[in-house]
Amino acid sequence: MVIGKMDVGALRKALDRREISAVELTTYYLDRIAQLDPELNAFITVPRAEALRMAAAADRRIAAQEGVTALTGIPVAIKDNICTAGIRTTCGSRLLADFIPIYDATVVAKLKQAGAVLLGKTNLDEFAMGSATQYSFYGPTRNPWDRDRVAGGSSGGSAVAVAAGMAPLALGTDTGGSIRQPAAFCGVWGLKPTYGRVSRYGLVPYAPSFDQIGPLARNARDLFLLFRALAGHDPLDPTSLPAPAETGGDLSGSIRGLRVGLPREFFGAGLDAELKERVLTVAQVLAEAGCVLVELSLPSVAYALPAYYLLAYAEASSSMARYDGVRFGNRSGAEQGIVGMMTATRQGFGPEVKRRVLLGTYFLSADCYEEYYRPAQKVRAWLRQDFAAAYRRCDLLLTPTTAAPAFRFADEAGDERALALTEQCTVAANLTGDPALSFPCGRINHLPVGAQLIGPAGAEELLIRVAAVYAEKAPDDAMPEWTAPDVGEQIEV
Amino acid sequence: MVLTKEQVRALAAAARIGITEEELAVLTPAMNRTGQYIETIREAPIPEGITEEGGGKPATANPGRKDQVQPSWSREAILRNAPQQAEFCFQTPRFFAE
Repeated sequence: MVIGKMDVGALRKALDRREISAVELTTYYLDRIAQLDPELNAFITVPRAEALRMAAAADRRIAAQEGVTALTGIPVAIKDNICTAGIRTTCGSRLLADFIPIYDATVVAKLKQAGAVLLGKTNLDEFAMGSATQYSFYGPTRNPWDRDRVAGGSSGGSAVAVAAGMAPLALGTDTGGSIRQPAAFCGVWGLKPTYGRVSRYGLVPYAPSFDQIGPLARNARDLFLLFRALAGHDPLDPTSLPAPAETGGDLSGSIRGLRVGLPREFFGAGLDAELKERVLTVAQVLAEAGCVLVELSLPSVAYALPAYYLLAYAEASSSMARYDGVRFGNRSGAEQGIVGMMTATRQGFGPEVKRRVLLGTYFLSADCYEEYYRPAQKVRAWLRQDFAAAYRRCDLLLTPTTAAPAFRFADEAGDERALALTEQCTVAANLTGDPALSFPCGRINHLPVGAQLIGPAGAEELLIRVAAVYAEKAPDDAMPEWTAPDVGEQIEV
Repeated sequence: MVLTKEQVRALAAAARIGITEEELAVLTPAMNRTGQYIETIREAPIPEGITEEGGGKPATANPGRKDQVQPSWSREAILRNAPQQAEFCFQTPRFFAE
C-alpha cells in the first residue's frame, strides 16, 4: 500500500479497516512536507504537534465507530488567509506574522467537526493579491513541475501541496481565479463554488463581493467530497445563500444531451495554440460522450478584466483599512502620533498590496465615480445578463483556464503581461458569481494545463460530473500523473 | 488616466500608507500601466437599459439572521492580538495634542 498513490476514498477504506491509522497517515504527509517543502515553499506554518493531536483524536473516533465521516482522519491543507483558532494566520503578510486567530472560520470548524486533520497553512500572495504566489512575505512558491516557473496564485501553496503529494486535499480562495489558475498550472482540480454557497466567515477579505472559498484535489471524486463537506448556509456569513446547499448526487448521472457552450471570446488572440487544441480535444471527447457543442459569443467578456481590476482594487482599499496597528497585527511608529503610527504600520504592506490599495483609493475618489466606477458596475451587470442569456442556449460553458502554461519568474513588466493574459480567462465567473471548475487536460511539454467549465448558480455537481467523464474517457497521457515527477520517493507503509 | 508622482504621494497619504521615494518611482509607472488598461472600460458598448445596480448585488437575495443575543468573545480574547493594551482597552498614541 503506497499512501501517496491512494485517493481519499481509498484512504477512507484503509482507515476504516484499520490497515493504517490517522496518525500514520498524517505522519506520512508531515514527513513529505519536511522533505519537499524547503524547495517548493508551499507551506507557511506546519503545526506538527497539533496535526498529530487531531489525528490521534480521529483514530479514537474510528476505533469507537462514533461520528466517522468521509473526512475523519484525512489531512487537509488550509490556505493561510482562512482563520484557524490557535494557529497563526499570516495572509502571506509581514503585518500578520504573529497573528493568532481566536476563532475558526466556518469551513475550518466544519472540517474539524468532520474529523479532518489540519495539516498546515499554505502560502499565498499577500492578502491573496496576486496570480503567481510571488508576492508573499514568506517567499515565492515554486511549481513542482518546473521550479523556475510560478505555481500560479494566489492559492499557489494549496495547489502545490496537492500536486506534489504533500496533502491529499486543500482549501483555497478565489477572487479572480486564485483557485482555478494555480490548479491549472500545477495539474490538479480546483473549484470556485457559486458566490454564497460556501461560508466565508473567517476568511480574511480582499474583495468581498468576489472572494469565495473552494476545494483543490487530485481527482473529481475527492474534489466533490470536500465541496460537499464545505457547502451550506451559514448564518454567520451575511452573503451565504439561504437554501441549504443541495449537494447530493454521486457524479454518476448521464451527461448525454447536455449542451456545452464554447464562447469564442475565450479562444481568441493571446491563447497558446497548443492549449487551444487541448481544450478543443476536451470538447471533442464530451461530444463523443453525447454532449452537444454550441458555439456562442459573450461580448461583455472583453471588458471583464478592466472591470475586475477596478472593482476589486476599490474593495481592497476598503478591506485593507483595518490594518491600522490598533486592534491586531504588527504596529510601527507609535512615537509618531496616531496618523504617524498608522502610516508607518501600513508601510509594511508589500509592493503589490500597495499598488492595488492606492489604485483602489483613486478609483473610489469622487471624481472617478462617473468616469470609472459606474461603468465598471454596469459591465458587471452586463456580464451577468450575457451569461444568463448563454445559459438559455447551453447548460455550461467550456473554456481554457489560462491563456498559457505556467510562466517563468520574470521581470515586473513581463509578469504584468503574463498575469493579465491568464487572468482574463477566470475573472468573468467572479464578476457573475457563477461556479467554475478547472481540471487538467494534459501537458504542453512538461507543464500541465487546465480546461475550465462554468455553469449557472448551483451547478457545481454538474461541472464536476462532466469533467469526470472527460477524465475517464481521455487518453492516458491527457491526465498528469498523480504527483509531479522528481519530487522525492514514495514512502511505502 | 495618468497619475504623477505627486498624485501618488497624495493617494498614499490619504490611504495612510508610508512609501519611500524608491517605491514611488516604481509604483507610479506600474499604476499608470494598469490605469491605461482600465481606460478601455469607458469605451465598453454597454447595451441600453443596463444599470449599475445590477452589478452591485448577487442574483439571489440573502436572508437576515434572527435578532437574538448570542454568546460572544470575552474581552481577554479580543485583546489577545492587540499590539498594545491597557485596562482592558486597545491602547493607541494620543489622538489630540495636550
